[in-house]
Amino acid sequence: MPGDLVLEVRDLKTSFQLHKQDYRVLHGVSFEVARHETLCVVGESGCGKSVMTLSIMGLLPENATVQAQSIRLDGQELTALSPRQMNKVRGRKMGMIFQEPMTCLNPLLTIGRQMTEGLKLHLGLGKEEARRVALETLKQVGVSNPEERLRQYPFQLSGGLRQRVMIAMVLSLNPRLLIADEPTTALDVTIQKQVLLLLRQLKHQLDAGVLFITHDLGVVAEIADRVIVLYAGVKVEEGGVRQIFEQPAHPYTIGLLAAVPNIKSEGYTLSPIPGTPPNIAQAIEGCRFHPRCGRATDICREQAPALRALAPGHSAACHHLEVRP
Amino acid sequence: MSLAPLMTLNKLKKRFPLGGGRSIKAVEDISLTVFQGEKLGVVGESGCGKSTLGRVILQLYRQTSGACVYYGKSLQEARPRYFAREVRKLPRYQRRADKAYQRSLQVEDQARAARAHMEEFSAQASHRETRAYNRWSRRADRQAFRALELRKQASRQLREGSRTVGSLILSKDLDQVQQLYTQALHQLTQAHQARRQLLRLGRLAPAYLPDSEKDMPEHRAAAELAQRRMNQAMDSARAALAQAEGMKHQNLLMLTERCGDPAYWQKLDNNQESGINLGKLSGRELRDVRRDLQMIFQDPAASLDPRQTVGRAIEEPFRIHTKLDKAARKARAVELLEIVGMKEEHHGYYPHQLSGGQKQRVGIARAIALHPRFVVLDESLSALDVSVQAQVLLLLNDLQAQFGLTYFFITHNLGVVKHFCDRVMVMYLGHICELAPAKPLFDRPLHPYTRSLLASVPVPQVPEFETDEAPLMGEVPSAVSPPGGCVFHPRCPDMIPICQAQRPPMVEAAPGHSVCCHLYTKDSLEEVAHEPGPAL
Repeated sequence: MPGDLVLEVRDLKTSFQLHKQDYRVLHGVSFEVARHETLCVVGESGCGKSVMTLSIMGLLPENATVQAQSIRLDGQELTALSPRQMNKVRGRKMGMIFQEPMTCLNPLLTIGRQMTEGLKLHLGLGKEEARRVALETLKQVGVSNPEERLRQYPFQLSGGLRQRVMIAMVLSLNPRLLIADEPTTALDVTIQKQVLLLLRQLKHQLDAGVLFITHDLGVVAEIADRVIVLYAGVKVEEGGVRQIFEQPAHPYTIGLLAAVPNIKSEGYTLSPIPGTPPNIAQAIEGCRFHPRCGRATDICREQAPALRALAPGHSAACHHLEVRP
Repeated sequence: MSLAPLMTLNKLKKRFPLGGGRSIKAVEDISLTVFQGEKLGVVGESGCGKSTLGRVILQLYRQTSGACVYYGKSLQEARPRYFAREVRKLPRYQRRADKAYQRSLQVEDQARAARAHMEEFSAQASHRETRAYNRWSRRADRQAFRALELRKQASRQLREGSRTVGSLILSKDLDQVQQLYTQALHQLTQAHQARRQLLRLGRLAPAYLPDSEKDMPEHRAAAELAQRRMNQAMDSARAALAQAEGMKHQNLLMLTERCGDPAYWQKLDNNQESGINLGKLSGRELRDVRRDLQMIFQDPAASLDPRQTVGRAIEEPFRIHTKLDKAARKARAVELLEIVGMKEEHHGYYPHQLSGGQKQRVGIARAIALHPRFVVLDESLSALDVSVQAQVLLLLNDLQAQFGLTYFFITHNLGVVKHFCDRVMVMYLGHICELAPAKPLFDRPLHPYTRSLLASVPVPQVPEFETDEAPLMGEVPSAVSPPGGCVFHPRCPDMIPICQAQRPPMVEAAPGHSVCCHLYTKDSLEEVAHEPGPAL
């Protein structure tokens, strides 16, 4: 149902100009996020996950060029918007939770001041009203004695609490799309679990879709409905969470799953993917994974594979999908 | 895995003062033995003191109290300066112990007198007399407490002395003990000098070998002399030490009432450190020992100097610790690069030209350059991507097999620990919670904290059912004012009343499986043994 899609991205290409040279980071990525759905984007560092979210938010620096056939948020085309119009959408209709809650909160302002700012700006609420909404959302995300928290400064809060405040700040505006860029990476496992459970509860309560960026496959298994796997700026596989974990098709996905030490498995042998992820300056012909791939043949070196459907909702970009290890 | 201890930590404590009498209690009373050739994993949440512990072991931070004893080099071989100092200080320990004990006897007498005085009042019941009674009773308690403290001080002094000479600290003719030890040290120094001379002769005439008699007979004679001197010196040092050993349990002083007990002598003998107490070394001596103790850091980029080539970074340990010339250093650096899976051409690269995994490999090459015995890996894989992380783990495994390294592997990643380490130690707020071989720890975790930690780890498998309750609520309390009793009790799902009042002792709940929790102390051990831990 297209009406239920909150985000639709078609052929997103982002490149950076550096020293009069073009470096392409994203090579045409397409996906959509539906309402009440969590789409996880997995990939190693440098694969373009964060650039992707920043392209959608329009937060990239000036030397970046974003080209896309279309980026539609809740039916509204974002590529055609002026920066001013974009300001109205950003925060109001899509909110972002960042990795480092400390660097995203202003250390000089109280939590209350920072939380009510967006409410006053986007919703035009009065001081009292904004404070009331802020209190309510803080309660919703499980912050204990919220009145006191509103008066405190970020340094007085622990990492887990700061991340909850960030989430509350985004939620208070009731956005259609929640973008979470590695929201739990800086947290300890026990706190991470608490935050993940919170995000999962909120997904059902809210009228929004979640785009969740992470490099941790364990987190993906816990929170995702659907998963896309990025490698060097290309979407190599997309599928439901069970499809990805139980029947991974692309050699990169298979390798990634095998490389993660799993505390529940027995007799595990470390099986790394040989080589290192390419950096963006490297030009790779054909399939971008072929230098590290065990299945690579001549065709992989010459032709970039297209996405092929394997099952409803499950597709992968590989020339040798029939080969199963 | 051989079971020879390589490093023993004894009630190691580290506090960072904050001013105003407050301090961050980063590491509290950690006692632990690290065995040779094992991979010991240390896990815990951030702020649990695991990194501090790693650094205290390497003496990058000096400990607040406790000892960190290294057995990789014998005391005779290293001859640290503190040893002679401690030998000189022996009579002082004895004197102080005696003084404290005599004082404690006096104070005890006073306490007894106060108590007797107190008894006089007990029969009467007027208001005034009740007050006097209370006063005397308080005084008696205070004196009793002081006496106890003085006793403790006496045994502390004896313990300090016994670190050097064991139960000989109780010896009546301490002068003779001192003499024997000083003599042994003197002989060892001579042996060392002779050995150095021998080495120098060897370097001057590399052709000198027993069979090449034709050249340099004077060298040969000098070398033989040096060899003989060294052997003689070693022999007499050994004899002096053996004589001292022979004096044990003879002519003992009764410095406290416990001194009559052979079990106490045994205890003092056990205190005697055959290894090197790292905390007492001078800066220069520490630098020598650092050859054996190395560290691989978390952030591979930050641990390399951006203006230094890879080759220069790897050669630095050779420049400091050896006298290799330029060509030899380079040859060794290239060899090391190949060992860690890089190429010769990387020798001239700058760090910014390498990927994260390669930078970490350079860090590893530099750490193993001098063939260390003990390597602390402080979150060394956390900055790497999973696919690369597995490569580096394999490399570390190979190196361990090749060079017989011992790893002190600090991480928050429990998955890595399970598949990489032999033994695992779980820490919380500066304390050890649980210490066990990896398999039992993951199969049947005993401490409630370990259980909740394991349940919190995200697993790359789609869960069968969704839970809505986090296994552990709340956050880690501040290490400035940790909770009383068991430090975990405010978050513990299985708390019992005693947890608030008393710090639990370390109990061996199964062979090799120690846990620090009241649920497993003697009284409750039987019940728990029948109750299987949650399946994980």
